[in-house]
Amino acid sequence: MNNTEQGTGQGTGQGTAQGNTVKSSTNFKIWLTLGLFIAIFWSAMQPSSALANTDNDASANAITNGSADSQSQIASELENIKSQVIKLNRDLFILEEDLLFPASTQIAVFVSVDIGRFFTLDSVELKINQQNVAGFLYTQRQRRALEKGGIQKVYMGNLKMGQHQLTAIFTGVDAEGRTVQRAVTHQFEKTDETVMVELKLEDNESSYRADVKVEEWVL
Amino acid sequence: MPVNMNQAFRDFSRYAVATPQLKAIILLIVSGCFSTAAISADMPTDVSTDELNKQPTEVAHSTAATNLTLAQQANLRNKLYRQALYFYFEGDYNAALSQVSLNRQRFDADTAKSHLFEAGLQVSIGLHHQATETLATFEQALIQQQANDKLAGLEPPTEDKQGSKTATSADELKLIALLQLSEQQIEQGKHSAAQQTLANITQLPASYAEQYQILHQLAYWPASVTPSAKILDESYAGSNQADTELTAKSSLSAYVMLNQALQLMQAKDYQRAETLLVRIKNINLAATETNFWQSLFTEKSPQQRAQVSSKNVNKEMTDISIMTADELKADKQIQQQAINDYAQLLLAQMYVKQGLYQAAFDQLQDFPEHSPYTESALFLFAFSAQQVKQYDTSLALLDLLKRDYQYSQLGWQSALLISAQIKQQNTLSESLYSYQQAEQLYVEQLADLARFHTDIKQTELTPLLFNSNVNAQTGANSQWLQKALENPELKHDIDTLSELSLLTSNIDRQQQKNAWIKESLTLNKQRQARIIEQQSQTQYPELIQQLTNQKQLLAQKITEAEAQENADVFANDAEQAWLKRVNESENIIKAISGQRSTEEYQQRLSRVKAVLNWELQQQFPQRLWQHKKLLKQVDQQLVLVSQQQQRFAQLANSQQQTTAFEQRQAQAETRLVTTTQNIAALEASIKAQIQQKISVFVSEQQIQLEQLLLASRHEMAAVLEQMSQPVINGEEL
Repeated sequence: MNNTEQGTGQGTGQGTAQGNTVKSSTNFKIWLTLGLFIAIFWSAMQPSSALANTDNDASANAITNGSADSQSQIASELENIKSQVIKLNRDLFILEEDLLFPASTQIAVFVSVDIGRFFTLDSVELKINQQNVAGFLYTQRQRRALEKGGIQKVYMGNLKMGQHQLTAIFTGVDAEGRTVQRAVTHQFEKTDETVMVELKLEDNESSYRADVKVEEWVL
Repeated sequence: MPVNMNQAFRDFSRYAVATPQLKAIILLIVSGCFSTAAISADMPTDVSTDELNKQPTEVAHSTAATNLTLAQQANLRNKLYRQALYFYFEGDYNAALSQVSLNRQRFDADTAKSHLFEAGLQVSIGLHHQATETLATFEQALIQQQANDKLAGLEPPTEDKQGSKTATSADELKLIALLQLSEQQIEQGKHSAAQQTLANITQLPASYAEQYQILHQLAYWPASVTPSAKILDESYAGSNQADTELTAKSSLSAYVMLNQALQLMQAKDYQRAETLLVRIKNINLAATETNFWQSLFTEKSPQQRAQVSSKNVNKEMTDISIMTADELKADKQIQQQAINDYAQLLLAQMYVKQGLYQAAFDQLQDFPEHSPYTESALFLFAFSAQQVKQYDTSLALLDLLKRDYQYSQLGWQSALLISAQIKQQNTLSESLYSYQQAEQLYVEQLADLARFHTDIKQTELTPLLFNSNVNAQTGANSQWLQKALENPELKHDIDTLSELSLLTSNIDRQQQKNAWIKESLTLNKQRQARIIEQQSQTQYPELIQQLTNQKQLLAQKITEAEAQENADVFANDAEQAWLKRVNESENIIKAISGQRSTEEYQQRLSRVKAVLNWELQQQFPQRLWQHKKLLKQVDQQLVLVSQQQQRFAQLANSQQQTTAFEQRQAQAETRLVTTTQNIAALEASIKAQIQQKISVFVSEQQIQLEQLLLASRHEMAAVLEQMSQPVINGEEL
């Protein structure tokens, strides 16, 4: 694509990529290709009085061709750095999690939404052993992310081994636009392994309302 | 020791309460050992000694994984994948990519879909080479997963009753991977590799046909090769037989048609090109439908990634858009106009190329004023007007171009074309004046350009280039800068600089986090030492041994009591008092038996004793059971305490785990320093390149302006020569 990009800088193809909202990389490439061709056609049909200077074009192309290699090298270096940063991010995240939430005391609570027709989620409040541990207020984007199939880790904490009680209160709007709450209480045992609990907001077709179901992940 | 154990065991009559006391003491020891865990639960930032010394990834995750059934593993993998999906839909692509990587590292959650998702995320954040590598290994991952699913007895994804897909089939995933791989290969200029990748596609659904055709065109460009893959939709396949029969179902179809028109023009097949361009010019586009995967593989700019907007994203395998309905509509209109205008401009150019100036003139007469191609269309329209002798129109258009596009080469050329036309139509003096104006324009622009170059060399680049309002800026410098940024390479460098700036901020945050981890580790180490010191002040092994001995003594006494059916052993305080009084009374009766008649006393005492014994015997089985139960609990607690004491001793003597954490933290620190240095080096190199490219741009513009200046002076000289000719002739005459 470097070659086509060189073409867009010349002649009338300049406006090609700018005037449009580029929707995808495929579209973008097409515009660049079109840019190249319009440049070729344009330079071929320039009136002589317009003094289209082919020597200039040639020198410009030589310069751009010469810098193509360094461009590619920079792109490669940038990718390498990006990759390093992402790996670092991940490793530090793991280190932090290992340090703060060892498996023997770790509990993680997740929220998922199935369909979401009968309940538009606004917020969730979590209690463990009657104590508030987390609350989350959803933006439209976050709610949609859940409705699209995403699972959100809403809480991570530490618990001693033994029996515990998790209470979740979901606040939202029902299909008629009324503010409603759905709550669930779940008893669980914390062993020396990580406990992962998923709170699933599921539409109940028979009652036309959403129910909260609890699933403990089998690790 | 809050309770004196020896005292508790001293009197056998007190035995009844001794067991609960023993239990209480053991619990105190247990809670003492557990105190660190309790603190840990309450204060997550301060991790307990024993927990700190655990390696959770090794202990819990790895051992748990082996016990899972294949179906459960598949379920878990899906849930982990959906966690990454949440980050993606939320707009945090880096977090999504990290999650995929984390899932793989921690839970061995590696599926074909997660591979493809990872590749898409890599494209989204500009890791094209890595995405290519991921896609290249996709097929192997897919085969592996299919084998695993078969073993687990999992059915491949199917369509539900409504016909909407609940998941992507393996074949479709493979097709998407191949399409995206070829796109990445084209992106990297590996056209033959892209051709080979596309050749692996033998058939495909109609929904992917346009994407396939475009990639096919680009892979074989400029050659025109007929796609070999079979499209699994008869109506589409039929319409695809002839190029000209193609209907624009979406903007993608229009792009395919435009590329075809360009190929026809290149092959000088102007008639077919004209038919196609006329159709594109008048085409009414349907909305482009992109599914989850197609949208995923769209690269997001650093700005898009940095500023997560509140736009909606649709569901996997349904139509997807990151825009609201209004934005979609506006975007569709822009795309439609761009395609139509481009076709119109191309049509006019084709006419000019054929010398059909009147047709070109007619074609451009209704060209829209606000279009990305207005400048080109205007120039072509003026040129065509000149050719068809519409001088007034051409003059007006060229004048407009000269005024509105002062920094454009077409605008500069217009100045010369105006003068040429004036020279042709008007007097020589008017022509000279016109050339003088053109000359003045070039001289001014050259001075302006030199000023811009000096300024840009003296200014700090970053704030200037990252100013989001560059386009809105006024003034000559920003105009030149805008023009310079039309060079894709320069624009790419600036984007790279912008990405590096974001990466630097990210690294700063990570450095802060790393420093915090380091501090936490130090604090925990101190805390660990303090706890070990505290624990060493009490001789727990001796205490536990002492308690074990006491427990054994109690066990022996209970066994004896059971064998002898001695209910007195379990008497409570009141009963003990009664028994004591009975004993005392017996002693008194014995003492006075020779002095007076004690028969009545003896009878009464016997009756009391019998009642007391009867009551104790009544309670005996229940009390025996209770005490046995308590003894068992004590036994269990002693075992626990003993285990904990051993574990604590083991951990106290080993600092290995803390050291492992410290090593990981130190490694991260080293990597952070290295990455920071790499970023700084690349940033410096890019800044130098930008300066160099701006210098090249300036010199190119100077050359163009100087040539135009020279041309205008030549023309002026020619005009002056013509003006002086009659005089000379007159003199000669």
